[in-house]
Amino acid sequence: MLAVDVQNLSIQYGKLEAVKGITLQIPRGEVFGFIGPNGAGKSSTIRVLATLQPDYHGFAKVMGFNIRSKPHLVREQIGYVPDFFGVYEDLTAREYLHFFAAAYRLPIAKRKSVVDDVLQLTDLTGKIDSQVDSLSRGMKQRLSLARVLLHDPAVLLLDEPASGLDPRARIEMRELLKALKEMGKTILISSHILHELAQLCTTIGIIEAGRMVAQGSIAEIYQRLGVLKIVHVQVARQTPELIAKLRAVEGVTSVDDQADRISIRFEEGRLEVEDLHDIIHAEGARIRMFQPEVMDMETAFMKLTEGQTA
Amino acid sequence: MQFLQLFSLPLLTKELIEQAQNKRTYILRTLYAAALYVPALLQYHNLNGGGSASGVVNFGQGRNLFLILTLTQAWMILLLLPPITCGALTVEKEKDTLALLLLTKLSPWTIIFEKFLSRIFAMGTYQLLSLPLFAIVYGIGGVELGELIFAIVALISLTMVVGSLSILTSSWFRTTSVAFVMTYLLLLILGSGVVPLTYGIVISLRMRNFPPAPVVTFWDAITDMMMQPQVMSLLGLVILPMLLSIACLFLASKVLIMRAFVPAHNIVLEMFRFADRFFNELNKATTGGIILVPDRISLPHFDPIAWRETQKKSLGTFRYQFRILMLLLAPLILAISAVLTESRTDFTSPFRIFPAFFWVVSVICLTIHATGAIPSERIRQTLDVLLVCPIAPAEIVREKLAGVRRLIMILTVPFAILVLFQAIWSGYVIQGATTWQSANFWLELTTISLATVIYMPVIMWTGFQMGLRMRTQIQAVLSTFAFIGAACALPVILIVSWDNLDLNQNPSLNQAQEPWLIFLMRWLNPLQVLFGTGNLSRGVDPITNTFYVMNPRFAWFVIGVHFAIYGALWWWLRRNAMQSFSRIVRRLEPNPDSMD
Repeated sequence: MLAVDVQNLSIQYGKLEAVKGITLQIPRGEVFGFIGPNGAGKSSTIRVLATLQPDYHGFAKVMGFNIRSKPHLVREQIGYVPDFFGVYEDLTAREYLHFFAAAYRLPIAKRKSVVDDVLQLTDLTGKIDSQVDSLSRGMKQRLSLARVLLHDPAVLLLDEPASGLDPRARIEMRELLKALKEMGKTILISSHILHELAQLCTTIGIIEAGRMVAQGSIAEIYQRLGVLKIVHVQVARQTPELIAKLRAVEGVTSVDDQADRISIRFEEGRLEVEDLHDIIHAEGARIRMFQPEVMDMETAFMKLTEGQTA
Repeated sequence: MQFLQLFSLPLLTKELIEQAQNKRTYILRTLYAAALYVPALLQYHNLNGGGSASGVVNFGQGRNLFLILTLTQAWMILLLLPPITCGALTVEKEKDTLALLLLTKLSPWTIIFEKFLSRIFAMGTYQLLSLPLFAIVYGIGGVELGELIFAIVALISLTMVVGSLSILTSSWFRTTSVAFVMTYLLLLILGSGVVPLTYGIVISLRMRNFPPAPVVTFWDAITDMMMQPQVMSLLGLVILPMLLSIACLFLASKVLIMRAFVPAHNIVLEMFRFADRFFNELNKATTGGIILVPDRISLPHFDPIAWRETQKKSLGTFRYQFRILMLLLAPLILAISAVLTESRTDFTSPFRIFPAFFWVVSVICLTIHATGAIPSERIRQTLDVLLVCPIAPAEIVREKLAGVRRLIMILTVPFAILVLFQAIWSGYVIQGATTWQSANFWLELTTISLATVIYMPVIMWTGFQMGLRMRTQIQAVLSTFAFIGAACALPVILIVSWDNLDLNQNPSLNQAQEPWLIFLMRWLNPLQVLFGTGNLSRGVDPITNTFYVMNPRFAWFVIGVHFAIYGALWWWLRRNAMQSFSRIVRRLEPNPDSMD
């Protein structure tokens, strides 16, 4: 069963169409990274799933419950961390967590142990009696995560949880999310920190101007973007004949003879990187450098998007 | 705007563009025009000949219209200018944009002056609306040109003083709501003490007569001065306010940087904490620190929102609510003691002031508490987090108002003590009372009891609804006060308008001869019910000039209808708040029509 099932979702704010027919399916236990520029429609989509956006068209289900007909059941299944802290600063960490434990109707007898568990998981046990307003940003964000874990939800909706955190807090947050992934939680996370998503997510969706421009596993997206691959080569005895032979290889689309290297573009389906290496070697060239262009999430993001907003 | 840019007033330009784009500017302008033109035209209609006769008969009749116009404008300045000016700098602080402004080449004085000018210009555009009316007044006659100029100068001076005071508080305080309250406090001090005293000194100097002539109120001073357009008064009305305005603006510019980054304080909470320290010290000094009822901090078990509202909010905790109760009870207990020790037979007169005092405190406390229920969640950005919890909307609303409900219970205590004391004491002294006194007494007791039980929840739900719908708490507080003011003032205005239109051909002291519509409007007014119930059951014997019981059943019926209407309003406000909560906060609720 799908944990999240969104079909043809559209959201309109007045004349502005923020989300234009998004479809996404997240199986249970997956970590789905939602990437897109500011104003692309990420937060709006997450708010629909969090039952906080009544005006939408399309169809959305969480853990099999239709959001429009059974939002009260959806709320039992989700843990929502908005893109702001959302903490009561006049409470201590203990009071804050007990407040939400009562709000989620946890049995009184279980509350203390649950609160202790989530505090341990989020490494906040030492801060249990600290006023929330005395906590650092990273601690407040971890406290928000502790809050959403109280009722053991199946799906976590995290709207830019690492936003505004310092490098240490980001690393701690990433480690915490990895732990949640291992616990089998389905996580939908939006972020601008793309390389962190790459380390964490099993699938990603790239959204721009309200439309999903790419969706799938990270490898699938790289493959799709890498239809034309580039390999940078340096050889000891470079000759014009070598360049001509490389241009004649099936699948090679261009060979750029630069001052310090040869840049070879080829179609990945017709020629493998390893075969290209063998062909150069077979021509008697002594290879000093053989470097396929590394595509990271930033490159993928830049290739897929044009910086547009809805 | 290009013209202003020539003089390099970028902040003023920006402010004026923003005002021009803001819908509120036009709404206020329309309200201002309505407040001026409706009473003025009614007064004009009521001139000799009912406005339809030849204009000749109206010559020299403009004085009343002139007074109405001037005083209405003075009130409008006092009511409108602080709300539009107090946010001038506090909004910049709240949005963290003041630092950016201070980093520019604009000096603090320029920032203050341009902000001040932008508000004065806005108020000036409102005041320009009165020019055609002043022209009519002058055309009708009865007012000299000097008086007309004098009135206009007085209004400009008032605008300057109110505007500069508002800018000063805006520069000093962190939040708009505190600046707003402090502006009115300063105006009250100025109006009730400083201006009359200064005027008295000016008059005394002129008359060479010490000590200063007593002047009762600010309005007496203004009216008196308007009637005596002397050079000295003109100087007093122009030079002193201008000096005061310049001083306020200068002070505002001096404190702008110093107070730019002060953290937000909960002034109510700080006041209560100060009182805590004081009482703790007092307790240590007197009893050695014995605490009869220690504070118990427990964790929430079943109603977490109600727990936070009653245990963690400054106005919601029992300790602070008890302080409010003591504040209300102390003077009442003193008055009761005085009555008991003097063995007075008049058991109502010493307590006349208390219902008004209790009501003022109750309205302020309830409004501030109820309007903050939702805006406080919005400001802390905790509303979304709360809304995704599996709690029904009606439950959220009910729990959010738990602290206010307890405050109502606390506030009813002084009313109950007052009612009970009067009821018990009357048993001893009522034997000598007239039949009217006896009948009226029980009617008044019932009225005050019902008012406590019904009006307070109406205020609570009105405040909550305003807070739910407005962006900020200050808007909600002002709207709630406006609603309460309208409920009290509208019937009066309608009655006055009715009388002015001369439709009531036989005005009489006796309500039995009043048109039923006028009668209904009169008794819809909560103020009339709270403080004029006695008029309902009595008639005046024209020969002996004594009261007699007119129709007690009718009086009970009228009071019953009044409270039935307000009870229905309570029910509707409550039901509407529960039902519309999710829609307004944009939370999805189950829709049985949608397919799974």
